[in-house]
Amino acid sequence: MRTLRTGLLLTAGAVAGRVVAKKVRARRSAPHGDVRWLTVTVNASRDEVAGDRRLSEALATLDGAVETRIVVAPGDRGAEVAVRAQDPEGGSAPSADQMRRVLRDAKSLIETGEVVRPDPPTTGKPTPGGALVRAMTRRAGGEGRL
Amino acid sequence: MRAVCWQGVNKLSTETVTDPVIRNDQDVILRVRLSTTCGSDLHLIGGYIPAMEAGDVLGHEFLGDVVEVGSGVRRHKVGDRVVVASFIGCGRCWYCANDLWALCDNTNTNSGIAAAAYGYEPGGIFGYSHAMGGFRGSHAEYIRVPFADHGAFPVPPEVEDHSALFVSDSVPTGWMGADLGGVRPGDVVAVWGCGAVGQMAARAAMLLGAERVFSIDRIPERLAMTEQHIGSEVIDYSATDVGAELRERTGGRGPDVCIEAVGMEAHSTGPAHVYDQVKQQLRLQSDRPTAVREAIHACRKGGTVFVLGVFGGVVDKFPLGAIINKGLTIRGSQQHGQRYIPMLLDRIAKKEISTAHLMTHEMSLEDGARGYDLFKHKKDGCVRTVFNTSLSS
Repeated sequence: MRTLRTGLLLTAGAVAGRVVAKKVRARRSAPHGDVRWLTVTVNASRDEVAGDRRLSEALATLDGAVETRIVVAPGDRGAEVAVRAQDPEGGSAPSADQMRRVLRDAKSLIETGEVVRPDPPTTGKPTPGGALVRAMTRRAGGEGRL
Repeated sequence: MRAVCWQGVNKLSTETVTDPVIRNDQDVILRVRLSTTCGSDLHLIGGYIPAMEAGDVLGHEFLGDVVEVGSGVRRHKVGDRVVVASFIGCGRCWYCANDLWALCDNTNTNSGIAAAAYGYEPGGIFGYSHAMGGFRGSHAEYIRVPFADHGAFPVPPEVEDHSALFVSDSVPTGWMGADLGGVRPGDVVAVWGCGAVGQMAARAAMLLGAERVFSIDRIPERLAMTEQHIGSEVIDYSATDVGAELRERTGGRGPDVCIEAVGMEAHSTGPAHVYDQVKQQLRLQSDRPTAVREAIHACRKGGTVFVLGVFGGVVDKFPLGAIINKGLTIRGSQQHGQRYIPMLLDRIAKKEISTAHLMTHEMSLEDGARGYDLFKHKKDGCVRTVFNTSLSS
């Protein structure tokens, strides 16, 4: 009985793992196997965005070469800036996390002139909940739906 | 400086913390005069929004004096008395440019947390957890205000502090419910909740031309206050069937616009309340949507329901069928305060809106935990506890 239960649990775990892995792959790859673009929309004209040195400076900080695409957004919504790693399997490809941060920061700099910073914590008191929140916030700037 | 801090689920204390500093050129530092409790703080205190860290400063509805100005600030100077919108808007992204300030693209510094929960992140807010940007709150002697040119508004000299305070959040939130709910002259409007936001929503509906406005609650002091200061008709839901009462008073049609100003910890007298409480305590649903369900059922065919109360996650037994089959419009939002604050200060100066009565209890920061206890349990007729930094305990 115990063997059966263990087997069922392992099978369920394997199925769940495959489903999650498939979702992650689908998120990262376009339908034909291409690497998906990460994009932001900047509330400025295409020409303004393309000519803004803060975008090129931000992209230059990435750990590896990227392809960049800037197009006019529909409905007078500004310009869509998209990037993806030029050689995603190569050793020097920037991570999606890094590309998201760079895109967000560049958008904020172009739109507002600065990247707003959170307030520092009021206390260094270690608590398990606090450690979890700090772990989440360390990653949060590079996560999301870009 | 002294500040009211969250220390764990249902644990608050007043602590000495470091003073805020300018961290971006477009910041100002404010010396807080007044800062009020808000019903949405209770969701943080109770642990329903699990992105708080021990020591986080609470509070998002406040006014004060500018004491320091960043080099990029153009519209404020030291000494200005300002009221600040609780949501932080950059003023230049597409959302801010289209007056949807609570959806600002550039002020939530932890975008991944809220994006995971909601698909996309809303803007940042003062004192409202790390999921909403990680900004310190206003129950403190000083606070840093990012993008101050867009979120801080000078208070006209004829508007005194205790009235202007509520223009930070309660008044624009209530106004937004009526405005974006599409209230038009001649409409019948029902508002669930007679807290500060519900009262302001009812007043906004009247000023926008509604012919009859009903305010629904069960707390006698709140019902009496609403009747006296707002002038709407009141319904005590613990003494009557709200749906039947509204049908009777609206010629059987139901209200044209229903505004829910209750939020995720709703109370009711029926079995649905027990069901929702059990599911919420077992974490099988995060929020109790009792008032939303009732508003959807009560609303007339083709009417609008606006959800103003704060909800954090998922709810159960949501009457989707009623929405489809009755052709309802459902809207909801956090507040786009910057869109309304100058107009509302003007209306308060003209005495079209009264707000000072909302402050039922005033105390020092040292009484932070006691102030929230009174507010949470609605003791002693408490509608809002206001922390006054010039008072000592």
